Amino acid sequence: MTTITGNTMGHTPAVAAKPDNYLTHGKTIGSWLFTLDHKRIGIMYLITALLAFFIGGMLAEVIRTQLLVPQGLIFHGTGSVASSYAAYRYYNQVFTLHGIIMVFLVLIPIIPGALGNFAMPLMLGAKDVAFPKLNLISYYLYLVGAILAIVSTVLGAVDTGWTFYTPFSIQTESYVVVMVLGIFLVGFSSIFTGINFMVTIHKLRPPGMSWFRMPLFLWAIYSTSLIQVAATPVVGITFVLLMMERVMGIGIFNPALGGNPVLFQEFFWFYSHPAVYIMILPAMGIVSEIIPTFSRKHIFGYEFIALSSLAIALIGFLVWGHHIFVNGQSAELDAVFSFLTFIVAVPSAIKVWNWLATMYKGAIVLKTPMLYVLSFIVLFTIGGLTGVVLGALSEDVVLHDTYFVVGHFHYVMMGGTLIGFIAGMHYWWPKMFGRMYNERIAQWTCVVLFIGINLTFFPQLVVGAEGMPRRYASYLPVYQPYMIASTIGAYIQLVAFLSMAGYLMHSLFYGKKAPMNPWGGGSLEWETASPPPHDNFETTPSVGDPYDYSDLVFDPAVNGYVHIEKPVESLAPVTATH
Amino acid sequence: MSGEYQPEPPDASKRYGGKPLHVPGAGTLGISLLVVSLSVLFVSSLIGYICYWFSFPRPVTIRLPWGLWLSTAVLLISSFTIHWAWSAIRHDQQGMCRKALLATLILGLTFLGLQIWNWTEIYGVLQSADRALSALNPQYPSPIGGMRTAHALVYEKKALLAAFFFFTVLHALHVLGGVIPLSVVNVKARQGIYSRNYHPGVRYCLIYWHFLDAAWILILITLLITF
Repeated sequence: MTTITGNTMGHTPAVAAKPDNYLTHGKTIGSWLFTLDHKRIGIMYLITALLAFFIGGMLAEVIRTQLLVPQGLIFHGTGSVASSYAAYRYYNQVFTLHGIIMVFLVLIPIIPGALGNFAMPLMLGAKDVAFPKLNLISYYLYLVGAILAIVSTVLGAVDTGWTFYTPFSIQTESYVVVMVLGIFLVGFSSIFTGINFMVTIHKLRPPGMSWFRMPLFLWAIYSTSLIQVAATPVVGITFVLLMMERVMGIGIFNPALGGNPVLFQEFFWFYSHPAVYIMILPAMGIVSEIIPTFSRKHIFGYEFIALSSLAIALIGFLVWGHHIFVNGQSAELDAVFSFLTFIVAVPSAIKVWNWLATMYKGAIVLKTPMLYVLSFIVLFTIGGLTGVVLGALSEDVVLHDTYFVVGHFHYVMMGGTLIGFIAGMHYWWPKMFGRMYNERIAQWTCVVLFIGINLTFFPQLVVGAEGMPRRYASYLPVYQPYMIASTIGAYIQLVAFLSMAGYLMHSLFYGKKAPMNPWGGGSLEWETASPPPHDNFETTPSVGDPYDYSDLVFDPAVNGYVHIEKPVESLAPVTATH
Repeated sequence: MSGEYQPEPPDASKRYGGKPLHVPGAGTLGISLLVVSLSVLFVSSLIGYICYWFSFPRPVTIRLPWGLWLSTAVLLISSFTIHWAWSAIRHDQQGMCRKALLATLILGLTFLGLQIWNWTEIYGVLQSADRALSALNPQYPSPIGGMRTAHALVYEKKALLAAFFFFTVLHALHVLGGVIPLSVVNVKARQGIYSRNYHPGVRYCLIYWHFLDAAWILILITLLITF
């Protein structure tokens, strides 16, 4: 192995009778609330985002239950049209909150905030991110934003859909301003996290870790941060204008005052389409870490996976117009955006093929993280390919605002981002808490979740192609079989998630002690104890190829992987150049 | 502006909770990324405003208050003074640096004062537009069939005034966000913390102040074209 003297920032060897780790380093509430430790901030993000995911998931179950019968099972009128309107407004609020919570409070922050914060400095062999205080401020901005969003729900829940399209969002009598203010703060948090992570990757790479020797998760985080820094201000200004429109009536988005409501959509999607890549890129980074580890084989096409992340980030800025193909955009622009939308599928496909090539002839170990990654590939491919279908102009005109779109983005968001997150959570869980979960139950849960997701969202693709519009509280009886299948799928997912919550909680207290390197990963976070000490590394780790598994063998004595001495000829010291 | 020196804190060996206090070059990169992010904010809203302005069938004209030229001059001069402070500290001229920093702070506050004066001027125009609107009958245009011409003109005028307030207030808030750290840097300079090799605060203020300047010039040009 190419051995290079690792980071020179120095360390104080902890000489303690009982090994101290970051979880036991300071036991007061204050030591958590005011911590500057990236690992603790990551755990705080994890808990907050999972709580938000629980609320959003329960709202999803309400939606699916409502749609069991054509006239609506939960919210339905008493016969008169007026009573139906009043009842269906609740449904509008439920799907709006589901969308807002899932997009802004779960999908966007969960991987960078929780897993990125926890794993990134460890993978760099660093002690922390570049700006630890800014990191804590980011978390609190996110928390306050999330609380404002919940407060607005109590005051009068928003019923605009998560996209806040004008002019309805100007007219509706719900607390749009409070909700939008909450998301504005979450956006600030996102920008600060992006700046922090970019600077960390630029400045805290240890000597010897050149850009093309970084773990691929860091490339994904870097590309994500790039989008966060450059796109989020646009949604900030959009929401400021929306608030001003509601409070002062400036008239820029309000057609009654000479404004242009499509301008809002342009602004909104200029952020919100890149935001889709904020969600999916880190998940792809996790997949790029897990596949070589569990295939016991060097990653195939490192440079292509690394640079395709950047390509997705950059092209992702140029495709927002495909959300408004039918909303009054010129045919020429439609054609350009359609073309660019096809282009952005290419780097995603490059990644998928490289993952498959990595697995080819590998010694695949079907542990839980790998099972989730395999689900990811299947589900993300369905989601991605239906996206290409929607990118074709003639098809989009037919399928716009149908359940096909709902099915498509749930395959990407749930099958892609969320499954990627769950894979990463299972991959780093032993490192986070020092405990192993029950592998057998975890694998069955993964299978159940995979079935549940497909049963929920595949019928939505079909029913959408048959013409069922999205966001309706009631529907024609002809669609009912699909809706029942979808609802059963949603309940199956609920069972899987409850099981997951159960065995993960169980593992915290009764799980087997995790070894340093349970999966045989080659990147630096596996070179420290599980859970890591407060200062991350007892001894300075040496930087090598993160995907070289030839010197890692399974040692039954510690129930994990350990480094072995390699043959003498490969031990010749190589001078590092970076 | 990079690579000329490595800013090192006076006590690099001191650690805070086992963490290094200072990562060389991290602050400069961080502030530059913040400036990139804020530039996207200003440029995108200017583009949005220009798109919106082009959709006016017959744009109205409003005379910009002449105080704008005064505030522009003040901001431009402050950009020179902060540059002066930076080059002074690089030559270890502590006294000169303190004077220049203080001048920048005073000029920044003067700019904010002048902007408030400009807003009162424009607010008068807005009130007259409101009076004109309430004189028109019927007060609200019918939602179907578009707006009547007289209404349309007043609404366009109001929209332009709203844009004026939006951009100048947005910029003033960012100036305010720069004045506060600049005050801290002033205090630190008086305490003699900065030296030839260590003056990150001056450097960050310099980068941010140049951004404020560039953003203001862009806003002024856009306002001059569209008003």
